[in-house]
Amino acid sequence: MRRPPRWKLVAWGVPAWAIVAFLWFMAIRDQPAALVIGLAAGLVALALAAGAIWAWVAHNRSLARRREAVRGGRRGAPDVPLVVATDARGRTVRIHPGAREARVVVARVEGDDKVLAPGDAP
Amino acid sequence: MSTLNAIFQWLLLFIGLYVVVAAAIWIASAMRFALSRERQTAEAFYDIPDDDLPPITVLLPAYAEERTIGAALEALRNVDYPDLEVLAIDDGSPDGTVDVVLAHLPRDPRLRLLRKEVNEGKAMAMNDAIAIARGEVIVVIDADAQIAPGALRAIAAHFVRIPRVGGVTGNPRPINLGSWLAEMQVVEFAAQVSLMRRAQVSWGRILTMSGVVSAFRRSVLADVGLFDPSMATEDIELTWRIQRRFYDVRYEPRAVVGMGVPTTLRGLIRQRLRWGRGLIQVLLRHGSILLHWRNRRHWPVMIEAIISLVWWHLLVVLIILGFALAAVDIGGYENVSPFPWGWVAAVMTIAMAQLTAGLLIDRRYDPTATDGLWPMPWYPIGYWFIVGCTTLAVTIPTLLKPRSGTNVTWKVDRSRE
Repeated sequence: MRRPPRWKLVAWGVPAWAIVAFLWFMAIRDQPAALVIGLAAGLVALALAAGAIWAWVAHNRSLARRREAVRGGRRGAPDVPLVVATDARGRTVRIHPGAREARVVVARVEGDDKVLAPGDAP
Repeated sequence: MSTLNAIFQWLLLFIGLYVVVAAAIWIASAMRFALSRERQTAEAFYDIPDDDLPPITVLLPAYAEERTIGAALEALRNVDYPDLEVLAIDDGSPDGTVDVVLAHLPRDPRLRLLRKEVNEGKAMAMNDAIAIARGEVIVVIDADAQIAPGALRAIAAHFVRIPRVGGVTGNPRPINLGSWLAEMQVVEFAAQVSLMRRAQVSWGRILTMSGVVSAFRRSVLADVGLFDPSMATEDIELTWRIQRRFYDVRYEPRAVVGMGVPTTLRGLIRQRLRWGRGLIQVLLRHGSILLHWRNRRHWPVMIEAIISLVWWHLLVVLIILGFALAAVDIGGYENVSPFPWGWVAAVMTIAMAQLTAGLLIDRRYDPTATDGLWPMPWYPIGYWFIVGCTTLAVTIPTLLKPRSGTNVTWKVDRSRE
């Protein structure tokens, strides 16, 4: 990861932080209440959010507990074999023997079929 | 004109309130994830004997990536995992991508190549590769991404320990740094994307597994189906399909993957147009989630996505309306700013509080993350407007024609980025 040198990040950042400082200077000069209102609104929102999230997570956990009590929960991953018979365009997918082991596989379209066949490795 | 002023005031209220409420929810949720999962997850969770680790196939779909795929393959060669297969897919590239992969074949016995004669897009390429993949877990990594050596072990632990896990997404970090746009994306991925992903895991469902690095249980793909090539963001759509079948999708911040980000405005706009279009397609396709009580764990993510889309539009409208009103000297603030100083200062500060929280949490995985604190204020000042405009540009066309009817093909052109 080639991070730019810190002086470059500082040089980029200083004008932006100056804008933020200017905004607060103007806000406090013209609307002194803005600071108090903004801070209070942020803290109230944070408290409400934390409460709502706690309640939502508790609800989700109770769901899982109830499901486990009734059905015993999900004990294993589904045992479904993956069979790719057709592709998204409806073409039949034909997989040649050896294609699953070959180092190089070539996919070509032959009429209404898609063929996956071993290719030439270097 | 008084009507326009009234609209302006309501927009100020909505935009400001959303920033406060959303930031509070995201910060509180992400903190909960960081404290309860990241801090308390014992090392034993990740300590799994080699014999118990499932075979993994890493898919590396590529189109015209001759400049970047070599580094991706090198990074994969250094990955520490006992039963690994790397399946590079060349989707009919016009450049030398195939030659680069072929040159790596003798060096890495775990590497295989699927060479497609016809270019059909990323989703089709991955589906074709899955048909010949041997792994029980399928990991998809972008061809310009560089995976950390221990990332696969961290991902695999979730599949081994928790049967209901259907997918795991990792922690992408921009690596092609040096420009202002790239730095904005460092801030975005650390402070916005990672923070929101942590928050969404706390809610129970996530918006998307990153296309840069995502892992799927093979049998779950068999159950829910493969990637849909007609979607602009096939990763978001598959994430929602997996979760609708009540499988868990997890976020693993230890699975760090370096990735290339657009370094030109043109590249960024193209990327965001695709993301915006993809999200709207997914919301339209899976809108019925809101009608089913059994899908209620998905509601917070869906509602948040819809409100944020509306917010991006209104933000652009607010900015244009504000300057228009100021130009005719109505609603202006001291003829300098069309917006109240306190409002702008509060919105900026809350946005930066959210970004700071994200950067501090992510510092654990990227010690340089906090360097983003310096350029951070530019993110709400300039970057929001760019993203808002792209969202605005893509909404109406997508609503009018949600699906193209043909495969979505590659739009990546590294030579122009």
